[in-house]
Amino acid sequence: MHIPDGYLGPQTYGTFYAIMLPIWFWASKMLKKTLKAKHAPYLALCAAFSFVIMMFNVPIPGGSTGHAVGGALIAIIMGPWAALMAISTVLIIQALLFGDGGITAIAANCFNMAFVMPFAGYYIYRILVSGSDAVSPRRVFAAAIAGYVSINFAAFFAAVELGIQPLIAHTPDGVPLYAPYSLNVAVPIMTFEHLVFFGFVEAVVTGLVIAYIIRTEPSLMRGSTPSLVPAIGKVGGNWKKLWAGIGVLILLTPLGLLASGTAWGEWTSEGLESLLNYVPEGFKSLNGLWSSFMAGYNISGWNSPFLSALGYIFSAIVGVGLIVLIAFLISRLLPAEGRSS
Amino acid sequence: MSYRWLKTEGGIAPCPCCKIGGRKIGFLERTLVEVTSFFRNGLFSEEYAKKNGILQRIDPRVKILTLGILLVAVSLMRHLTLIGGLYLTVLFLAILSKIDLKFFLPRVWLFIPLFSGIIAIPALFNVFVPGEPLLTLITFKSKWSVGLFEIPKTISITKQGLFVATMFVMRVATSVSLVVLIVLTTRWQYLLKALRVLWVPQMFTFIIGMTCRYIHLLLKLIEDIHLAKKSRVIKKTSVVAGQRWVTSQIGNILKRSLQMSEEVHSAMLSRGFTNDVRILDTFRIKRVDYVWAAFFILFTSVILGFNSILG
Repeated sequence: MHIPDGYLGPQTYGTFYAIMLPIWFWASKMLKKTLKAKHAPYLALCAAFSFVIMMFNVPIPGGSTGHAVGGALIAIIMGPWAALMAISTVLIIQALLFGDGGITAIAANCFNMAFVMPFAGYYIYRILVSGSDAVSPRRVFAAAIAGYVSINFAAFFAAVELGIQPLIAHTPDGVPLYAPYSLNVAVPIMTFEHLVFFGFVEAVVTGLVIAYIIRTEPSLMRGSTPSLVPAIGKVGGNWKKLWAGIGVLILLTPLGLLASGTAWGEWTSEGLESLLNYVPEGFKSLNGLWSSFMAGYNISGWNSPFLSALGYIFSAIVGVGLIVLIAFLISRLLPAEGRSS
Repeated sequence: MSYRWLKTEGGIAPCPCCKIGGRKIGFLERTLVEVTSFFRNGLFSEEYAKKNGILQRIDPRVKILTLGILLVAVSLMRHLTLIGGLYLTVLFLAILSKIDLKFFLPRVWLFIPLFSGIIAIPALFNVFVPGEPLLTLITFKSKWSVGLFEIPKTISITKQGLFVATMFVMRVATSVSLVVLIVLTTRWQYLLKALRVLWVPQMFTFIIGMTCRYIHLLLKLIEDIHLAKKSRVIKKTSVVAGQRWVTSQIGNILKRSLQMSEEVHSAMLSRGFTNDVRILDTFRIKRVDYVWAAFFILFTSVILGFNSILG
């Protein structure tokens, strides 16, 4: 899954650097705060462990062998933020010193394997074990499922990154410049091999290692390791700033009214017809499947500029409220220690 | 350390996670082979970094910055001739840096056919990249479709496909050669220190350095565990027993790593570590660095200029 140099165009790898830089910054700030002076040796050892986990070959029926990436396992034991930093460190070392994965693609690889994989694995695990005892057998199955799903998530993202290359970077006559296969080839191939093969290796390793930890060192399952899953609000004490930021963004939403045309990819069938001179069949059949009660982020009848700006702000408040409600309900589903530590 | 029987298997792959172990050697042997090949092939060997070539003489910071820009330039190229030119430049730099091409070329090209080459081959055909046919291979009665793919009536190698495949392989080969060149000509502790020029925080380079050291330690541990197990095995174990053994060893290493991090932390504190990392900066920019940087800026600008003129 390590994408080498030359597979992704500058638009893609540049975007991933822009995405990963604030994530790395935030993660390191958070870990420094929770672990203090301990964080350097702790992260170094976690990273060394993340590196060597790939060296362990696991026997597979049929006489062959495979190995796990360990994103979910590391996140379950050490928390997703430490996993993010540990796996990123490993990916940087692999790219710099071993030529595994490209230098330009470091951020994209980190996004797939150090961000998507541990976070997906960690939260799937937390939801599945909610309410169970720290050493219950349910944790083993939850870990196995988290391992399986998380590697498939990561593979899917990698496939999409590779699959969009022919769409965004090609010569004037449409010949791709970077990874040559489009989404309809890259996604099925990549997801198939992870769904039927690598996913199971990951599941076996994640589940059995957790079973071993429960058997031999149950204290690790009770979170005796330094608490690495601080709630967002506690670390920075930044709830006020966050709400203020969201408030400013809500007030700025009517700015969209100034723009002409439609947001890219959000065309109606009429808009599409004027752009392309025809409406694709699939689009025609799906168009109008769902009509929102606040269509166009506006309230019917509020047509003057001032009222429609108010309508936008009202829509934004309703939207943010719905998201907060959903996040609150999900957080209720998570086990207590994930919320409070 | 050398075990002759371990050297018979190569551990070459661009990415360990993409490898499905197809050959019928056991999981114990495979792990031992990979660990040994890590110690043998790992780019930690500093044989070339100690030579007196041109890139070895350049300040590591200047080298990383300039060759890093060249790497980005490679990714911006839209013409095969320019990528080919850049590849030849990289080879020329390798020769000037006293790197044996018999070592350098296989290092890059051995894994390209294994990975990117296989990926590039289907792109030659009109099934994936439609275009002007160069060589028609098969003609069917009519076109047919398999799932999402549509197989055209005739299968042929296309001009566009040939361009895509060659461009792709050359771009990957040039980028990989550049990275291998940087790594081979720089001692790795200098490489880490020089990352600061790319705004990597000191603490992060410190952690990367520590990680490299503990990777060696943990791998030695894994090698010992596997050799000990191998020396005791007298018959084939079942898959389930094998899986249980491997995963218990992973768990074991995990426990040891966490315990070791506590011990390392105590050791660091007892020697006065205050969580404030300062890396001794011994780099000096010399005249050769200025000349190199000036030449390099000119060269990259010319190449990028050609790239935009050719469109």
